[in-house]
Parts: sequence; C-alpha cells; structure tokens
Amino acid sequence: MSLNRRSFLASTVGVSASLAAPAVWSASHGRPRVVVIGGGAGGATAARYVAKDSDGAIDVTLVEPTRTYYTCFFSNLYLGGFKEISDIGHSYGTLAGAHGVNVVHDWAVDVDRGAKTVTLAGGATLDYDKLILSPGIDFIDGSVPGWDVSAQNRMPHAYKAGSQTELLRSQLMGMKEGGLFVMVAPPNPFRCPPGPYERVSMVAHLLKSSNPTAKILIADPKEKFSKQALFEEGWERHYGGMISRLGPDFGGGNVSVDPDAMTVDIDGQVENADVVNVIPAMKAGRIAEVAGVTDGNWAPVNAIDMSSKADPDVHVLGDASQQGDMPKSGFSANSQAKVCANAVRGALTGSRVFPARFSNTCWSLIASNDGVKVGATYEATPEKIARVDGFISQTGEDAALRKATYEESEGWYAGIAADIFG
Amino acid sequence: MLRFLSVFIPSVAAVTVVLISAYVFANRLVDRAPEPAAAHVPEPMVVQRDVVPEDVTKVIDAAIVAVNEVTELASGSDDAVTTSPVSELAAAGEKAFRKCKACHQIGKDARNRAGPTLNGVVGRVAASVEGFSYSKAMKAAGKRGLIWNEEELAGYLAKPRVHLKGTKMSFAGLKSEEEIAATIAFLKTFSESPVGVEDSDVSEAAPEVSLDASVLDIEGDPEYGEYLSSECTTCHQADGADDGIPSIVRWGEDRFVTVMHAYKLGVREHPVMNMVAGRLGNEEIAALAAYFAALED
Ligand SMILES: Cc1cc2nc3c(=O)[nH]c(=O)nc-3n(C[C@H](O)[C@H](O)[C@H](O)COP(=O)(O)OP(=O)(O)OC[C@H]3O[C@@H](n4cnc5c(N)ncnc54)[C@H](O)[C@@H]3O)c2cc1C
Repeated sequence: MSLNRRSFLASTVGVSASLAAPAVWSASHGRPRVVVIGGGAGGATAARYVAKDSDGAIDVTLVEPTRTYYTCFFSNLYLGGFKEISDIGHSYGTLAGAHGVNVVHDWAVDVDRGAKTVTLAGGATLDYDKLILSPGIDFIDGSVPGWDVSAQNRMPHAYKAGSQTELLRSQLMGMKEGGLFVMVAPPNPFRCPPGPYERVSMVAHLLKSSNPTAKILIADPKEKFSKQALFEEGWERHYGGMISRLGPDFGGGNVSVDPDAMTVDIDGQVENADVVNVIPAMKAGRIAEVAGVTDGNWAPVNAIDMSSKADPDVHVLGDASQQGDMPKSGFSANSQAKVCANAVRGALTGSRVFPARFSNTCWSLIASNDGVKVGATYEATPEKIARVDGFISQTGEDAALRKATYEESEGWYAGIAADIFG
Repeated sequence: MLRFLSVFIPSVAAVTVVLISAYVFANRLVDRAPEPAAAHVPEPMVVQRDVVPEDVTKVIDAAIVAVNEVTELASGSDDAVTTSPVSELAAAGEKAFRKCKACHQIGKDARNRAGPTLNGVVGRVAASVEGFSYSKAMKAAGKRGLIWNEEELAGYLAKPRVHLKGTKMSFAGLKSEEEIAATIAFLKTFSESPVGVEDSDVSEAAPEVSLDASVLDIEGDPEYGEYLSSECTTCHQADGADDGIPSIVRWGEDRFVTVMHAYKLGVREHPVMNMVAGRLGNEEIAALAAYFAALED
C-alpha cells in the first residue's frame, strides 16, 4: 500500500507539495544531504521519514555499524522465553530498497561541525546539510566500581540488545539450582525506566519453571521506580518470596562488584552471586560528545524540532537527547524522530512544517498475559518537551484487562517495527 | 541471604492520587470484546484528565459505587447474567423516570412535549431533536459540540440550571446519585449504543456519538493528516495489518471522524486513545480522516 500522492496534489489545490522546489536550502550543490548517525529507534525512523516523505528530493545516508538491529524493547520478553532472538532482530533492507536510504554499515568516529562533515571508522568522509544524531546510550565509567566493559562477559549489562541479551539468558539457563541472580539497577536518568523491573519479572518467570528455588536480588540506588506499585503487586502475586529489592535506605546505592570472584558488595555486605546483571549509569552515546553537542552527560535540544542547543544544523534524538519530560524509550525516540524529520524536510525543501507533538506509551510484561502500561502526551514549550496528559494501569485490574494489555503490546511491537524499518 | 527482607516501598503518590472522574460509569461501552454485563465493574485504568467539574465528580464517584453494589448482588449466582446489574439499574431508572414524564416522552411513538423526546439522547449532540424549540443556551451548547454522554447527563440531571445556565428545563434536579445513575441506565436502553456492542471490527460498532453535520463536513487537509498520522502509525500499521492493535485504514471519513470523537469525548474508553484523541481538534481529526481515506492498496 502506498499513498496516492498524485490524487492528493490534484485534490488539494494550493497545498505546497513535497516535491516543490527547495525554498530554504540554496541549490548550490546537488540534492540537500541528511546524514543520520545511529540506526535505532530514533535514527532509523528519522531516515525513513525524511527519505519517504521527500520522495527523493533529499539524499539520506544512515550510518549504523550493525547489520541487524536487535530491539531492546521486547528483549526482556526474550529473556523470559516469550520471544526468539530472531523475533527482535531487524535489518535495513527495506530502508535501502523501498525508500532509497543510503545505508552505510560503519561507525561514525568524528564530526566536524564547522566543515559539516562526518568521518567514518573506515576512513570515508560524508558531507551533510543537516546531521541527525541518535546514537543511544553509553555507560559512565566507574559508576559501578569493579565493573567496566571488559567485564561484560562475566557480568553482562544486556542494556544494548543482541549478544549481551543472549549471554544473559544462557547464564540464567545454566544457573545452579537455588542460585542467586543479582541485578545492579541504574540511577536516573536511564533508558527505559520500567526496563530493569520488567527484566526482573521476566527472569523470575523463567526461573520459576526452570529453577524455582532460585532467588533474585535487586540493588537499587533509587528510592522509587517506574510502575512500582504494579510490579510489586505482580511480584507478590506471581513470584512470592523470590524477589527482594534493596533500595538506597538499605545500601542499594552503595554497590561494587568483583567480576572475577562473582561477588557483589552491597554497603559492605558481600554476596556470592551466580548471575550478575550490572546496569551502569548512562550517558549519551559517545559520538554526541565527540560532536560537541553534549552538556554534561546528555545533549540538550530545542523541543520544537529536536535541534541541538549548540548547533541548529544538528538534531539529537532519543536516549542521547536531553529534551525535558519524555522518558528515554523507543516510543519516545520514534515520536521525536517524526517531529525532527518534518522540520528537517521543511528546512531543506520548503515543505510544510507542522507543530511538534509527541507521545509515549510503555507496556511491560509482568508474567504470562499480565501486561501493564503507562503513557503520556507531550508538547513543545520554549524550555522543554512538556508533559500534557497521561495514564497508568492500576493495581487490582482483572485478568482479562491485563491479557488485553499484553496483546496490545504485541500489536504495538509490530506497529513500531514497521514504522521504524518498514 | 538473611538480609533479603522484602523491602518494598509502597508507591502511593502517582497511582492513588488519580482522577476517577474520567471513569464515569461502570457499564459504558468498551472498545474491546464484549463482556457479560455482570463483569462490568469499572475498569481500574485511569486517565488523568480534568474534564469534570468538582461537583459532578462527586456524583460520578457515587454512581460507580451504586453500580458496584448491584454488581455484587448479581454475582452471587453463577448464571448472574440473566439478572444483569445493568437491567436492574435500568429498571430502577424507569421508576425514577416518572419525575421526567411530565415533560418528556420516550419509547415508541414518543413525541416532543414541554421537553424534547429522549429517544437516543445518550450520545447525541445537544439541541438536535428536530422540531423542538430549544433555549438559546441549549442551542449554543449544541453548536459548541456538547454531547450528552453519561458524564454530561449526570451533571445536568443533578443540577440542570447550574450545569447549563439558561436552560428552559424547570426541574430542580435528581437528588440522589443512585437515581441519576439509574435514570441514565434507563435512557441508554433507548439509545443506539447498548453495552457490549459486538465489536470485532472497531470501525463497525454502532455510532456512539451523533456529530453535528458541521463537524462531519470539515474538509480535512490530507498533508497535515499525513504528518499527524505518524503518531498513529507507531502502533497502528499503515498497511492495515492487525497484530493486536486494530487496523485504522479504509474506514471511510465519516466513520473515522465519529470514532475519533467518541474517544475524544470518552464515550469510547481506551486510555491511549482517549489521551491521543483528547488532544486532537476538529480540524485535526478531519485531516487524519482525509489522509487515511486517501491511502490505497
Ligand atoms: C531491556 C530494555 C527494554 C526496553 N523496553 C522498551 C519498551 O518496551 N518500549 C520502549 O519504547 N522502549 C523500550 N526500551 C528503550 C529503547 O530501547 C530505547 O529507548 C531506544 O532504543 C532509544 O532509541 P535511540 O535511537 O536513542 O537509540 P538506539 O535504539 O540504541 O540506537 C542507537 C544506534 O546507534 C548506533 N550507534 C551508536 N554510536 C554510533 C556511531 N558512533 N556511529 C554509528 N552508529 C552508532 C548503535 O549501533 C545503535 O544501533 C527498552 C530498553 C531496554 C534496555
């Protein structure tokens, strides 16, 4: 199915068409060029929308090192045994084939904002008129003493999906009977606020059948967490006695690990663990810092079009951006990408630019057919992306509603995957 | 392992400080599969919207309690469906309706008298019964799009002249919340959208709101609609596939507009859709309808 553009043009006299001559961008060199760094929820959506909606008027290059992108969303369901790893893997063939995106599998290693160029690890240089950065997150060195990426095989983070997620699952499957799984939860702000707790739910679901005497311990530096009442109710109901959480009052914020000894030190008390999932503190993907658009850990942006506060020709999307009230989620990144794509296209081709509008909904699975969700809509204000309105599932909901919510999340996954990669 | 006390800090704030106000009545039309009437307790999902004035909220809370009580009575037996709480409530409403009968007729052969006929009143636009001469205030309310959904009716029936200043209806209001809930349940039995409509295709359900022609006639801007549609396609697939979230393509513009307004007004309940549609204006809904209508295979 495709939009019948010609009938639009015929029927909407006076509407400026997307093929109209570039009004803003000067035609001194070929087609205007957009380079997107990062082919995840934000970047791939932006590349797809700019290419699709400009109908070839804009040259779009997407730089992404991996050939298959494994979504973090639903990676917890893979851990729980609800999905195969292949269910959450997506490739870039349609972006290239159907939308004409030039997909380059390489790392961006440098950005020269003066010369408006991006340098790739392979040595190539790309010119851009507009640069879109959506590199996701990296971890803050030293945030969990004893852990660094060289330890990620012994103590996986599984917070960038793919081999890390598979590793964590195989460790859980091989865990000794009655063993201990420890999660070191991250401090705010981090990607996917309910993510660690959905993960605990899915690990509990897995262990309940394969290793029912196993225990789960969360060391958490945060007082509160997303959907807390819902998760705690669900844990009690489905996995009574299996899961404990040590918040900051109980030393959950004072944690170090020893990956060789497989121990976790929580406020001076050393636990011998069998599987340890360390989710360190986060910051914007490193290339944002290299590009010089970060302030502290994140890249501040203008809510109206996701342009960097440091450079109007650079846009930053998704987890890496510091935008205001939206949680760092795939849904948010996708939503921001569409606002950005509309603005970028307008700037380069003179197409109509519509007011920014954002939304987010995050579904989480607590156990089989026990889904919950939280969501909100947002608007652009001069200061930030500001929350307008929202909802959250409630404790005590009946089984039918929870099942419907889970089924809806399946629908959402199919929908957003098509919207990003389709 | 000894220190694994379950250290659960109960989270109170966000979840309990919610506005039940958006959840007007238990026996509303839901947009999922139909459930037996006995199972129609209020869905505990909460939409945080301030749509209802304070005094109405109180009425509404009480109405939920009333429905709950009846539900409990009915759920004592296994085949409770035969004495559904909805029909009990409606029966109580028939009694309460005696107070209205002096001026309003309802049912077959109903005609306008001192007040307009009330067939189909639940979900219709204010001041839309043909041949009845409404007050200025009521006509204005209709123009601005007031729909007699349950929320509005509850407010109006409690204190007509407070809820709609300038109304001709010279009635002090129904005193008890139970009476109001019952009356509305009764009125609903004469309205187009019974509880639990067969609803396998969301677009096919009976129209829950009757929109003013002026709303349906807005010519949508499809280019704007295309931009707005990107908010839909995060969940609804543009090619019409349905993997757990319904297809929204090829509905026809009027149908699309009507359903979106039903979500916007809360006549249809779904927290995500109430939130998304709640932010769309008439022009935006028309734009979306125009865009989706222009999608082709
Ligand atoms: C366990 C878990 C569960 C989650 N569940 C949900 C959920 O249910 N719903 C939801 O909405 N969100 C969920 N999320 C969050 C979601 O995955 C992220 O918020 C989202 O992926 C952010 O998109 P992004 O574009 O900012 O980054 P990413 O999707 O991470 O994409 C970044 C991409 O940039 C690439 N990249 C990085 N640096 C460079 C460079 N220098 N050069 C080239 N490419 C580069 C990376 O390879 C990567 O592919 C979950 C996250 C986790 C960890």
